[in-house]
Amino acid sequence: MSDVVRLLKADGTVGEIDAKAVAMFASLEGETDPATLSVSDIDADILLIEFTGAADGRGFSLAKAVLGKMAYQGKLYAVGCINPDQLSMALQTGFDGVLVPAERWADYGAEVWKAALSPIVKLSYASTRSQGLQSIWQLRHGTQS
Amino acid sequence: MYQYDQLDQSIVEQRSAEFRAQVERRLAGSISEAEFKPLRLMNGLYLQLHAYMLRVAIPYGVLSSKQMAKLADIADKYDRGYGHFTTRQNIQFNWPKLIETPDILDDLAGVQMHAIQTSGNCIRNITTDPFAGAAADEEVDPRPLCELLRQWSTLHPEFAYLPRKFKFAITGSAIDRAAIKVHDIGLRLRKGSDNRPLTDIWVGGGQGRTPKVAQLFKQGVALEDLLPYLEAIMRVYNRYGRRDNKYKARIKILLAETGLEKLQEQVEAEFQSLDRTPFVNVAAELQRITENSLTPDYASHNESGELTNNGSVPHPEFDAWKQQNVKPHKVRGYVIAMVSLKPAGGIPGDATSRQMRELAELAVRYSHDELRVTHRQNLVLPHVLERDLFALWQALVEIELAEDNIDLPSDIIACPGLDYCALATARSIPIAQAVSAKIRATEKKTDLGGISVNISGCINACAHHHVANIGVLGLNKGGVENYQLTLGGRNDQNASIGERLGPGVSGDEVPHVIERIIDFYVDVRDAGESLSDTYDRVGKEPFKEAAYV
Ligand code: SF4
Repeated sequence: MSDVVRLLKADGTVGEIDAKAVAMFASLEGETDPATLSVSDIDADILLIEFTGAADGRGFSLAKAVLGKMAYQGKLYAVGCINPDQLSMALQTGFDGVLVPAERWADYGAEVWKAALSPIVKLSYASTRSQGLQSIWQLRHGTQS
Repeated sequence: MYQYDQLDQSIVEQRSAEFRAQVERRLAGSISEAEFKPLRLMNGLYLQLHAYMLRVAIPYGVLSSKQMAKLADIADKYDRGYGHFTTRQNIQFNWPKLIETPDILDDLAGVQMHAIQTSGNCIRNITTDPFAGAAADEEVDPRPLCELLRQWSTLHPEFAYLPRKFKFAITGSAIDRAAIKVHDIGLRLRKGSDNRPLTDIWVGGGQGRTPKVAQLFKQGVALEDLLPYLEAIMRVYNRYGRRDNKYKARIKILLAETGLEKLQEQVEAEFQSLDRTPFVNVAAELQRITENSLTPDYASHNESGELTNNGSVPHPEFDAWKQQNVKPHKVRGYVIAMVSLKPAGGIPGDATSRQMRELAELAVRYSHDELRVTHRQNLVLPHVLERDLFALWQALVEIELAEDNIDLPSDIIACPGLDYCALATARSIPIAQAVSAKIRATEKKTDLGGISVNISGCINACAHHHVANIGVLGLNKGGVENYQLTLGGRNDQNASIGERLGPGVSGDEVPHVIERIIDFYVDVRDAGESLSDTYDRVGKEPFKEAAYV
């Protein structure tokens, strides 16, 4: 078996996918201009958005465009330069999970990655997507689902 | 003043615990300094020339007495007995130890404070008019909106890795005391025809290497549309802002390169298709914020008798202080008292722990428990009974905070410069000290009106020298400090960028050049004319001739 890629999901679980299978998924680079995308570019059950730099947050806004204006219905995973401290942000912006290749998994260590799946900060003001995360505005105004 | 509920309290405590875990990982060596850097920066922890520096957020510059007293305690417990108030209405501690920073954050959380997003490429502390809610000329109190924006931008998952830092300022008055036109986004709140608040959005102002005055981007946005519209601007900026060159990464460059119309179209398209689910509660939240904010009980304070100077004993020093440092309040019988942190020859913006503690006491006694920080690095007691002014002034004299120089040339903004900042090319604090020591005697004798002098220690312009009436920029030319002067800048509702006057001068020369500029202005000004007005009327050349004799 080739390298295993871990899939850290918004429901707090960790799955495993063969790296060869991951290489077959449709993929967009984080810097892709959503204005240039057509529906056929995202016509896939699984779509990856690749973060190309640790300080480059364009992938978060691209996810918003793909899920929002383009109404993508499949699974959306983040891949690339995502570190454990950014995992919660990815899940909150709408990604269904983050793919972590074996080397990156080892770099930070399983413990740190797993800990990142249950972050210490469990509240946000506006966003709600990630499991266990509560929106303060929804809690205050009685619309928490 | 807004009061946290349990949820606000929890998120701040959780963030503090998260940072403690990050510091522990760093101290245990499981993450490198390179990996730790973005994490510490998101919590306002810089590595400066000599030590770590922690920048603590003072959201929209509003402080309770209890919070001020806690800052004094932190200065004593973890630092060297003083704090430095900044142009973003925050406070910095220059000497904390890394291992103690999580404890500082816990102490801050205990008084509803934090250091979240005081650094990093994210939305920074929202700033506003330091007289908000008190100013006699205010149309709409901006503080509830400031708090709403604080909440919205706090740990916003999409905007934690922007191309560059991002700054908002808000004003609710026609006289702009928040410098909204030199911010990435400036908001001008005003009343619409049906008395409901509307917002004009200004975009693309900023300083640094490429100073720009913001452009009017969208007029008359209703409050229910405001957050979605701002989110649309941020999303467009996050996508299209340049990331290839950090000096071209601010939204002002995106605006200049894209053009106003096209950027407006992109934002409009984003706004139209934006998912509004997160914003369905915004109106209710704004209402809740207003209800959860303490409003001074002006009537009850009115009954308290205090020492007054009833005019029977002449007190020229008190009169001078009152004339210069006291501003009109919206409630009859009340005034806004400004406390200068610019003693002649002192370090601009610094306050000792004793001064902070005493000010906290004075706020309890005279200002309904409240203080403000201004972007000119001074403090404000916003709700003072006019009849208490004399007693307040006497107390300020005791703690050496009764300098009567608000808005005068010695009320200098200076960045840390070479004394603390790793990016500096020249000293700024000692220059400010020399200028204020020299100029103080002149300004006591002559009515100069308002003149701003700002001194930056490098091209990053943290002291906002571009928009000062007299700006000073410290550079390094062949290993020697060299100071460029600019004239004609202003940061109010008529914001403009200052023009470079001529060749740079040595640090020793700066006070003399500034004095000559001011003398020339006094000689040629028309009645009621400010320095900027005179400069606009007579032009650069006569000023240049006077400055470089
Ligand atoms: S202007 Fe330059 S020297 Fe001054 S604080 Fe900013 S970066 Fe440092």
